Amino acid sequence: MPRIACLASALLLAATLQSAADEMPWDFARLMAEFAQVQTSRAKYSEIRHVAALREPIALSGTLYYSRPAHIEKRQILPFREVIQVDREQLTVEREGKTRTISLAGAPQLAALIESLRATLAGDRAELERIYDVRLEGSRERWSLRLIPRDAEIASLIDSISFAGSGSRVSKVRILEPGGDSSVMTIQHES
Amino acid sequence: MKSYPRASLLVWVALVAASLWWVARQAVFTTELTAVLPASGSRAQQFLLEHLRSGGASRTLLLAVEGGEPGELARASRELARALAADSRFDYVTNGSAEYNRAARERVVRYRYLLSPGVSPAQFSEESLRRALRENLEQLASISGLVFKTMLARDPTGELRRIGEASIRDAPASRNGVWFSPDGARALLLAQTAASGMDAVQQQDALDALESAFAGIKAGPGVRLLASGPGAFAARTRAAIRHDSRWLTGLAGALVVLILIFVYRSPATVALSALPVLTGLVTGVAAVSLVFGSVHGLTLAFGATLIGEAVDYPSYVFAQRRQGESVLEVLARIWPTLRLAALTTVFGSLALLLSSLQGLSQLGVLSMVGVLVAGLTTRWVLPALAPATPPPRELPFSLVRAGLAMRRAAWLVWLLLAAAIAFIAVRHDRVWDDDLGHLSPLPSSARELEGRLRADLRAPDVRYLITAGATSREAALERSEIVALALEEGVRNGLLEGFDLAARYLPSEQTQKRRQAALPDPGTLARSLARARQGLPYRENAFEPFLRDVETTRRGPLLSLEALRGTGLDLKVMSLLASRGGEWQALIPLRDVRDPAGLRELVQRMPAEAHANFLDLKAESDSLVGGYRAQALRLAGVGALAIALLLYAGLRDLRGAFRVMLPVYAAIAMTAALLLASGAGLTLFHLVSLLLVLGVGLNYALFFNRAELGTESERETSLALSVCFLTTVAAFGCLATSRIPILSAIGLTVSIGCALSLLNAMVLGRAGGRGRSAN
Repeated sequence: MPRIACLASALLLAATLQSAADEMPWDFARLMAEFAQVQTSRAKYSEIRHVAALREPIALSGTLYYSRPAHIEKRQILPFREVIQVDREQLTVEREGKTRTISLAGAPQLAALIESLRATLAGDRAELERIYDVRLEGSRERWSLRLIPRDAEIASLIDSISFAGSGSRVSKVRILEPGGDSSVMTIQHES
Repeated sequence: MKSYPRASLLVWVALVAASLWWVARQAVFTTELTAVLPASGSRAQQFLLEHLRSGGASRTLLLAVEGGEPGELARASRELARALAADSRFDYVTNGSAEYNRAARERVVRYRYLLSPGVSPAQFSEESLRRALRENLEQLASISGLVFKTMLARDPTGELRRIGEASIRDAPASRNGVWFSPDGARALLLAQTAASGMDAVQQQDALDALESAFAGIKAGPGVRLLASGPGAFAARTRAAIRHDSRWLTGLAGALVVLILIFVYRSPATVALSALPVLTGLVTGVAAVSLVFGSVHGLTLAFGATLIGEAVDYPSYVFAQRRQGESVLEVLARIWPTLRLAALTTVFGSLALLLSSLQGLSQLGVLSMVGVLVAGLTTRWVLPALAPATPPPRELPFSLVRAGLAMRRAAWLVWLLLAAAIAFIAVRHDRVWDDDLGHLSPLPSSARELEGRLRADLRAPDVRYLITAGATSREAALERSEIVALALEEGVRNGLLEGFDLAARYLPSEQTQKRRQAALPDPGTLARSLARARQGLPYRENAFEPFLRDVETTRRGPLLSLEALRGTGLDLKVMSLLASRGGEWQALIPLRDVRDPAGLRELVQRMPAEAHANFLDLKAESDSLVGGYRAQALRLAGVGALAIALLLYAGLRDLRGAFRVMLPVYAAIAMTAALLLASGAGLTLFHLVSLLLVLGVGLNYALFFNRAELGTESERETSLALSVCFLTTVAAFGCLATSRIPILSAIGLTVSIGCALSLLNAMVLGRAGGRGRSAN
């Protein structure tokens, strides 16, 4: 008898806790915490870039791979094959058999751009807030994150970066530039 | 012997006063090293001097800030750069941050079609444009497209990238917008002083300004400033030498005074002993200033050493006083010998006067006048001033007797002499060490720091340099361009990592005109562009800015030095061009030379019209020093001959002259052999020290020569020589303990040389002839 009573109370407690969790207010900290749980993720992406000098937008597609805490791989298939890998401070671009390495420490604008994605995926709140002014809207199921660069030199190239997603999955990345150019990436998760 | 006390004193006071006034008011002292080096010489040497004096490399300080987080260091770097830019002691300062590059970058963008090596008629053909446009599409799609886009409309053919390629190769790593060492531990800066790198005093001034600027920015605890470069080395070397020589001179002075007081038992006598040498120094310096217009610090240093023998003159007088004798009476006895002693030095220095090197002839004048005046002061002024004091202490031993006792071991001295000569003969090609770098008092950590900073900053080599000579600035620029073309091959073959030249920032007019002519007219360019665009998704008017910029450059003025004013590039160009008289040299500093011999060959194979020259600055400066030293040696030889003649005339006895000279020359040979045996070569400073040993040793031998065994002269000579020897060894022995190689070289050489001179004089001299009466 006492054993059944214990079990029952335990189940009741668990159920209460679960519903309580569902009802706790969801915020930026919790979003970041959820992202921090993700070890790896793989996705397909398709990107549309609007460039002022071009008549029509550029369409790109390929796969994205992320591994905690700082490894990102972007394998582009269309319109030409290119593999970009980022590991902490090093960026490697491989195209037509040739590899080029860039040290991000010496390229602050590029670093800021990449950091926006990496810090979000890693749930690195401190880093994200250091470079960008962060605004979060929506709920856990449908949220959107708007990043505005703090540094003037980076702001001269990027107006804002917006992430949209659900839970710990990013579904859309939009980069807006001062000249009117923009880039929108749509992401389809595989795992 | 007569004395005119009042007259002598008046003359002496007048002389000293006049000299002091001249020195205080009119004398100009210089510390620039190149002032003592030859005015004539090979073209390469002349150019080297000019470059050393005013060249950019010698005035560049390499700075690093370390001991903090990169962000902190970057902030310190920015603030320090701002503080230094405002200081007139620095021509320019840069730390890689955009604020110092902005004006330069703007100018490069504006004149890119005249600056880019890629501009040629083929560059603007339809095929070439299409290829460029295709590549640009890929760039836009790529990750760096964001940054790349900004110049796309203006510069589709990528001239800016081509111009930047060379400087990116040459640029240090960058973090937080400023230069950093690759590991991020040090923020780096470059500063160019207004003063020449060879002027140690002004460089110290600049270093002090640096320290106070750094203190003013109040960087965090643990953050340090490091400075290196030729100027910093010169200043620190000078400071180390001054510091050591000051306190060692003080110690030596105290020891000498103690010894003299112990012997003379009268402070007044000790004070008077200083008079001849001080008078000699002051009049000598005034004489040099009168004759040459300026006195070099090196002359002063060397000259003070040579005059050191005059310190002995009063000792010879005072130590040989007998009971109840006045100074005049002592002089009556010893004046002939003392006069001969002074004259041998004067004659020896006469030879230096004949030198073509200003440094050596200044030394000759200083030494001659100084010793002469010291001798005259001893003869005329000392008797007038000397008080009546008790005779000096008696020594419990006699050098003469000791010498006689050692006479049996004379064969040992001969053996050692033979061994010494044999040793020197065997090593005759390795005797002299003309590399003054070996005498640097700075620790190896200083050299390591220099190497590290130079590598981090990608600063040019200080040793190897290529020059292209011409009769005008334009011609020099043109020739340097020919050299650069050939050097690119060297870079590809790994002979060196990189190079810099003025024509990279200011191409010759010829090259600029050629590029200008390669730019197509607007109609042609627009048509080629339109055809190239076909099939590619560019907007019709996307490249209006490009067309505009090409036309502006095609019709516009060429890039001139005036157009670069205020960007820092003008200073860079001027530091890479040197002119002297009507001759211009374009300097091509090299970076990380890996194969000097191969590079030299490459330069020799360059087209003759380039007038290119490969300079090994270290070898050139070593040969300059070697020339100075060789001439000093030759003139010393001439001086030795003059001394021999004088001794023969003075002693009227060939064998006597020989007996006086032998101990000294033997001592010099033995000292040289000993120094060589300890591993190092002999330097210029050893040579000057040996000249002093010659002077002092001759004096010992001369006085020893007149001592007769069993008479008063035996006791007096013994005392005089002991006092002279002890004071000399006390003074130079202190110097020998210095950590500074130059000072310890001088101290060791003189101490050993004088000791051996005295020993040889005792063992080989004539003194102690049987039954001779006192003269």
